[in-house]
Amino acid sequence: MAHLITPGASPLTQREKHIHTGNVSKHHRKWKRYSSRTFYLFASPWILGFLLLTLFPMIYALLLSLTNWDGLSLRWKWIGLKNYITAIHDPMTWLAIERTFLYTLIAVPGSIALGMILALLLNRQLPGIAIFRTIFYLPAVVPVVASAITWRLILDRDYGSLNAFLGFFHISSITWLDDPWAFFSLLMLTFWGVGSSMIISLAGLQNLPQELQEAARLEGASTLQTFFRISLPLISPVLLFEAITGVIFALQVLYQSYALSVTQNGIGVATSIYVYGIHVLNAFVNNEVAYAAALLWILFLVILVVTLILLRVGSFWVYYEVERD
Amino acid sequence: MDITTLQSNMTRRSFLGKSTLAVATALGAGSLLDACGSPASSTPGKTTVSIMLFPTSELSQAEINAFEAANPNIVVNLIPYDTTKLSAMYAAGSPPDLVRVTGATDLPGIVARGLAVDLTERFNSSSVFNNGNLLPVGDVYRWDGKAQGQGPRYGAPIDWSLDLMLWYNKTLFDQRNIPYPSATTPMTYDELLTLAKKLTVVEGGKLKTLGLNTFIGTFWYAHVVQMLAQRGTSLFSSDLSKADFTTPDAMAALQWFVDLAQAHVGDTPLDPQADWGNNSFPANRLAIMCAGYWFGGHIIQPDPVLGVGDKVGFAPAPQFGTSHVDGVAGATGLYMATQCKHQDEAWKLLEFVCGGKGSAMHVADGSGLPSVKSNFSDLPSTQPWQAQALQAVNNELPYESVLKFTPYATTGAIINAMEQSITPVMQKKISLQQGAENLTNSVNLLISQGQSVIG
Repeated sequence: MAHLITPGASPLTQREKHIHTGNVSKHHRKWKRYSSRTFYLFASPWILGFLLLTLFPMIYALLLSLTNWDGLSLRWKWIGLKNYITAIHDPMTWLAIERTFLYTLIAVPGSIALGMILALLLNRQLPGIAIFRTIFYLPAVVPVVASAITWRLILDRDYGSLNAFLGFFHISSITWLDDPWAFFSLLMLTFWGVGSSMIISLAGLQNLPQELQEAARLEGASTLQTFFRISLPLISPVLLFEAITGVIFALQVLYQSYALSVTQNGIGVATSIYVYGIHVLNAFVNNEVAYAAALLWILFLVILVVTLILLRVGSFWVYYEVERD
Repeated sequence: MDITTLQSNMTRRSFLGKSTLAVATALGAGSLLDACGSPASSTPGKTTVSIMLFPTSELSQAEINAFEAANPNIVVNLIPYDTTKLSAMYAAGSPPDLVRVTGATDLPGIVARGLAVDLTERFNSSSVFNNGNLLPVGDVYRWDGKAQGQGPRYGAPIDWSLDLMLWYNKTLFDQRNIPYPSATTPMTYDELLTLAKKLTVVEGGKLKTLGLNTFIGTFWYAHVVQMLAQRGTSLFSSDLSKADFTTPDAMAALQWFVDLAQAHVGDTPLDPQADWGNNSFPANRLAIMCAGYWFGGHIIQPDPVLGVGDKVGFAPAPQFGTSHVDGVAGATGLYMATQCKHQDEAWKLLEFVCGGKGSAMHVADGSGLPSVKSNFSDLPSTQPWQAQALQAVNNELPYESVLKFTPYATTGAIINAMEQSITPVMQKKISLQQGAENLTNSVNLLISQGQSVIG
């Protein structure tokens, strides 16, 4: 842009000239007048999305949970906290919570650990490593419902390929989709999608400063020592992120268990994969819409508390390279 | 940018205020758009009638075209049946004008909730339904506040069947050299289970051939109600406000289902199947399917093998007592929503679909029995199996009965409760007595919740 700068002329732009020549206040007034509008204009998609699609439904559900509306009736009334009291006294709620927490306790650490192991194996510069990374990540991009239906076909007792395979070894057929195996089938489906955890851990590993690891090796540290003393602490913030998002997803699990269940009315056999999501779905099926809203608010509060606990506990084992506020 | 300027302009109060205004504007815009209605409703000189049904299987495009040709001032807006969408439409105060309902089980609950228009006068003055043309099954759409089958009339079936009759696959019977069931003399439930065991083929722990599908996920509740009716008793108290699964007759009915599951002859919570009989029956994997006449039109007739000739048969519903009862558990039809703004036009469509030309077109492939006598001649009988099925139905019509279901809890909710309470009995985790008590408590809780809404 040298041709714009003529000899003897200031290279300042017209706007900068105004600032330098004392026209600042005029332009500042203009900027002041439109500054909040500009802010709202640019932030409005998110604000509107949050208010309409998150806050409004939440408040609507909260109000709904305080009524006895059944989803159809023109007659309904406020019943206060009765739905919450009913939920707390419903043994199925506790069965669902117990199953969901058990699922979370196995699925989340398992997924993180498996993802980390895969990430370590794939964090090497080998010929064709991208193909392996793609293969392991592929299940994570398959829609949950599609993968669950595929697994339902594989796990079908009478016509599934897994039992057919076991048959070669004279192992009699297993009812994978009923009690007690259905819970393990749900875990199997969860671990099949471990690629998403793997890709996050891999990104974390690839971001590690090499000089620290090299220094550790020069000092005589073994591979395991390097991993546990250098790599793991450095990617602990990534692991905390995985833990929190994993717990939230696990506590909300629905589609996998819903698609795996094979009864005609679509609701899982009560004693097999009776997770909280199915409990809520049951309430909807039973025309207990207000009760279902109360169950969802209970789930929201449980997730909130668990997340806060995880964040608090995380401060003891997560290593941050910079000082946190 | 001067950050202090921005902060001073954007106080928390102004932020929240402006955000609220934005939401209100957006919601207001949505309401205005709603008020504009669908594009069809804005067609000059025409009225749009919305109807919620399953497309094709319950209302075909050909039927819609025929109706619109006969009523050029009415446009039909077919909304695919979706319970979630229906709830949302009710919540918004704009349900469809005509709504699908399983008449036998759910109509009283709909009326009790104040959702349906009393159509008695229209039925009385209708040239389609009047003069004895409407069959007795139409009475499932009557409810006087205490009993079904009496009082004002709120709708009519699109089609109906004696829902617990038995379709059997002759190929599988022939393979086992087992004689076919009688078309006139019903089996007992015990005889049916014995027959199912003979027809079942198990290899390596896998069910290769299913002996029987009782349609448990849909009709378990109806089975129990009908079994008790055959013994001259009822599951419910006289005002339908209490259920009791612990009576000797009710426990005997539940015990039969426990025996069925433990015999491993077909679809039960112990042997869940990926299909409800729609695939396994035509594939020669299922010997006996417990379903109404409609199964012939929906599943058998379209099948290139079963739909031709004489490869299937139709038999009466099994019996559990001394009273011969062959009940109606479905009778899917239409009611008119109380918010309907074009009741005259909506009535024309209801009349067309439930009793007029639309009904005749609908039942022509055997997708159910018509609700009016005049359309019985449209039922198919060209194939030998179709003629035999029609004869079997005619044999059973004298034993047709409207089964008694409570209006205070939905079928889906009660079947869920049955599944949750009786599955542990089937798995031998708890006793039948305990399961029946749990079930009674669960269903009575559902009923009391329903009563609290209905009042």
